[in-house]
Amino acid sequence: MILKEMLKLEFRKALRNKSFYISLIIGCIITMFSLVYNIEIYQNEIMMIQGDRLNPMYGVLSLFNRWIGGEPFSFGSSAYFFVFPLLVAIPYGWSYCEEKQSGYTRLVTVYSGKKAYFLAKYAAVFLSGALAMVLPLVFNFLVSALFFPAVTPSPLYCTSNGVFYGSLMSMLYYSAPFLYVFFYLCIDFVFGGLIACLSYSVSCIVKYKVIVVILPLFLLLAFHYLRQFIYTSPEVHHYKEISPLFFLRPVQIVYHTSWTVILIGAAILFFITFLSIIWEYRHEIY
Amino acid sequence: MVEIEVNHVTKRIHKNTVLQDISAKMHEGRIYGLQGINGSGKTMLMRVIIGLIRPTEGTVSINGDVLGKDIEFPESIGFLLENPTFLGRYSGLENLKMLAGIKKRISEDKIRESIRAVGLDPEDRKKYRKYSLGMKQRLGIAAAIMEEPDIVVLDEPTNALDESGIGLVKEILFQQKERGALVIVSCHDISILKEISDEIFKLEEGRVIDHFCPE
Repeated sequence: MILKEMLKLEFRKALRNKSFYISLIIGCIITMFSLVYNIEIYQNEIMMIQGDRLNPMYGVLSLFNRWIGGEPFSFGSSAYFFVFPLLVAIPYGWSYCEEKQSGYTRLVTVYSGKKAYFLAKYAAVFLSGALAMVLPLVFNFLVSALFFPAVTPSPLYCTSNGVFYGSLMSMLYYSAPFLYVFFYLCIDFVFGGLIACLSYSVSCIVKYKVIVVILPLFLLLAFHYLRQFIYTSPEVHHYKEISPLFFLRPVQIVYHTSWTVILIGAAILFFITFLSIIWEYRHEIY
Repeated sequence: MVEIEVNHVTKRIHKNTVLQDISAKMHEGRIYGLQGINGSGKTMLMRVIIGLIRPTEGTVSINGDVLGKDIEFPESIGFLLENPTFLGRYSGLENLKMLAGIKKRISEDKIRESIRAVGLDPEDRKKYRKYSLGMKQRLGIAAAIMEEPDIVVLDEPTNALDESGIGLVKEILFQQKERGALVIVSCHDISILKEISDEIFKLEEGRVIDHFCPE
């Protein structure tokens, strides 16, 4: 009963706050850069088709390789999948830091119990981050659908599509692309939420809201940088993309990823964040 | 009926003993004053009684239930510890509604009544972060009493209040006592404490050095 009320309270605080809206607006603006770029490309392609009715590259034009998740080239696409760790932490990742430092945590926990408070906070931070990650992508996909035909991509143009034979869910991409987009949005939803929860975990040891919000971005950047040492190791023969900054993009950037990498990545993030919250839960509140 | 039993409580934090072998029995319908200079252990003792801090040795029990063992926190408690702490982006009424919404024991009218009782306007849409110190203090007291809890713990409730505010706090404390609540209050001003308390525990360096009933 109290957990239910705490979930309602935390979801309300997480989703009805200025930071959440600001994050969504910034996310949507960034995705618009991608849209404008792709509309220009598309108009160019249309002009080419009009000039040559037998343009053999007609099959290249599709919603699924023109929305922000389907193309790796535009500024909007690169920027969005670079700053998303910041966008997911802005909405509510800082809330525990704020409440702990102000003393609000001790007030609420006496009313709700510590378990309900920490669980509800985890769920709210997860949801706010997940939505902040996915909603701008959905917005971009829907707006892009107004401009580009939802033609099923042809595997003949896999180099243009960025989805190759070994890419994750490539079969789905070339047969049921809507499902492909849906599954990728689900993956992004989960990772957006978990990365936001990194901020929540960091709040257990860091006092400053700004650091709490930007730290997940720097942690992911550090991991992204360090991963090159794995690829350059002579021991490694099978390359998989392990950096979330790349494998959360629905197109292949360098190496293709696999479900194993994604599941292990999600499990590691979940255990790190959840265990740190349990650790915090066991501490006294001053 | 409410009874708090503090049984040989000692609290050590990083080798510092902040509470040392404190024992006390407290009953409903009485006001207990905690007197002492800064760092004497008043707030720490309140934290232990609220259940936020676990004693290193000894126990605190509420009606026989040991805190941290049988119950996590007292079932019915309202408190104000040090500075009042609410969310700056909401108004006073919104903050209290969120708190009261957790247990859903009281109606919105009751919340408004509590806010009026401390001399604030429940219709004031001003955000909490724009409140003056005195207003924050009053809202903190309103939060502590709104659910008419069995135990009311107020740490320095007269901080940042003017003469009229202090008078209001005294009146509220007597009202709480009259309805049968067990009230624990700390205050720097010994004259106020003597005026309102039925019993006073004098603390020094984490020990109770005196326990008396003021005349």
